[in-house]
Amino acid sequence: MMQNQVSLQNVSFWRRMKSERIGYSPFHSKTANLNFINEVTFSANSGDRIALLGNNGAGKTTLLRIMSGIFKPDSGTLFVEGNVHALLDGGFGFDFRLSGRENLKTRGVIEGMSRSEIREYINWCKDFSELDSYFDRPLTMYSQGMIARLVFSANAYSFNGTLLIDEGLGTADANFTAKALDLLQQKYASSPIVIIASHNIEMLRSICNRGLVLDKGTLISDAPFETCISELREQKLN
Amino acid sequence: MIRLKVVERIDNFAFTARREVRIFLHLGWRDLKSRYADTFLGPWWSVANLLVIVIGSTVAVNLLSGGDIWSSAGNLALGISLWTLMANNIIESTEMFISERSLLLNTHLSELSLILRIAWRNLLVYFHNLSVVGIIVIISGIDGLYRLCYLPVLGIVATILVLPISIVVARLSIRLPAIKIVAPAIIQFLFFLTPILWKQPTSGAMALVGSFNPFAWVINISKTFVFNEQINVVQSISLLSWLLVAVLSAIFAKHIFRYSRKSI
Repeated sequence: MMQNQVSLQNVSFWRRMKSERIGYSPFHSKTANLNFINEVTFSANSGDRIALLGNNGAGKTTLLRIMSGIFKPDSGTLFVEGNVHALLDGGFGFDFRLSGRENLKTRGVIEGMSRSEIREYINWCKDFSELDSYFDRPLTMYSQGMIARLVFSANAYSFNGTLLIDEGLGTADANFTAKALDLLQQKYASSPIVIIASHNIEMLRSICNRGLVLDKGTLISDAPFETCISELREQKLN
Repeated sequence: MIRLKVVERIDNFAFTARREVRIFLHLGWRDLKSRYADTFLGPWWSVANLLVIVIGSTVAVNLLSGGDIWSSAGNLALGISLWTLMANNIIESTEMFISERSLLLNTHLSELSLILRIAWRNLLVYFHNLSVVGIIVIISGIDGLYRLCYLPVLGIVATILVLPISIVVARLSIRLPAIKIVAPAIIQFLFFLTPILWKQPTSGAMALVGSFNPFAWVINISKTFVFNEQINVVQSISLLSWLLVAVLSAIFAKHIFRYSRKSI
């Protein structure tokens, strides 16, 4: 059986940004390296349920993007064993002028599914989202709740391997929420490693056993979840 | 051991290439469906648009120059359809990183695939336009209907030719957002320096302009193939070398776009 592991060794990620513009010329501006992730080291193994904690701009999403391979680290090493499934922005690639079916087909192609897999994927999403006739109508005709249902279904379809989630998976109305949460619990339970970046402490408490606290791109704590929460509280008090 | 590694790398490359090709072909087609969703004529609107432009410019050019309407209509239809294809590829590339930010930040899709997606959707529009171009070219008079077979090939060549420009423009648009405003103006200016509304002379200033303008090479070579005009050897060689540049830019696109994803 394949062992799942995500390991980061002194990983840094920066971006050259204009800090000051001189005059009106776009060629004459001062640039400086802005560290988004600074020398982060940690390792996640099978069974870990990790909460990524920190204020806005702490580097949680960037770190998830690095782990998923979308961003390449500028220094340090990233080691990933097993599949990684990243759910960062649920509605990416959706075109509102097209129907739910057509958007899911695109999502399937982007995810590299075969034709038969795409058919299965679409049928599953149609059943799960309960959008009925709206499923074949343009997204411009959907309510916010309907879009949330479609986005949730598109992202919650079966996946295996390490699961990276940004801000949890938003759900829709009360009826759908119970069904969606139930499915999510199953997904979290079956994934070998789950790493979630969120501000929703109650949701994280129900899932995570370990926490990583980031502050301005630097990992300041890697400890059991409750310890991290206490540290965060102390930080806020100070 | 080394041989195994090489085979593995080739295998990985083939797998990724197949996946990326499938994605950009799908996205290009989807863009067209989305652009013309719920419209009466669908992609044929672009054909109607081209027809109006060709009729308008043919009448205007012939009123000014007093030439034969039917013979110049074919030249204009061919030139304008190829120009539209090349210009749209470049202009749309300037906005690619902005409009597809979410795709780039949430998937492993390469930047080159997004450029090729634009190229593919514009090529699809061009193929639709060929229905009108073909008819006008026949009416203009060509020696042999087989020459119509060159039209799709010329579109593909024109698309490959603008690939390096699209790549560079897309990359620069991250650092210099003003490019998306400046590019259409430059393209508009280049339109008048390209022998579409006029025929390139063999000597003089405009001949010199044409010899340094890659768009002129495409238009002139296209006319050579379709209307059996005299072949310009220098421009043919220039075009071939430019095509080599295009292929190299596609191969090295990964390096050109190296830091682009983190900069958007």
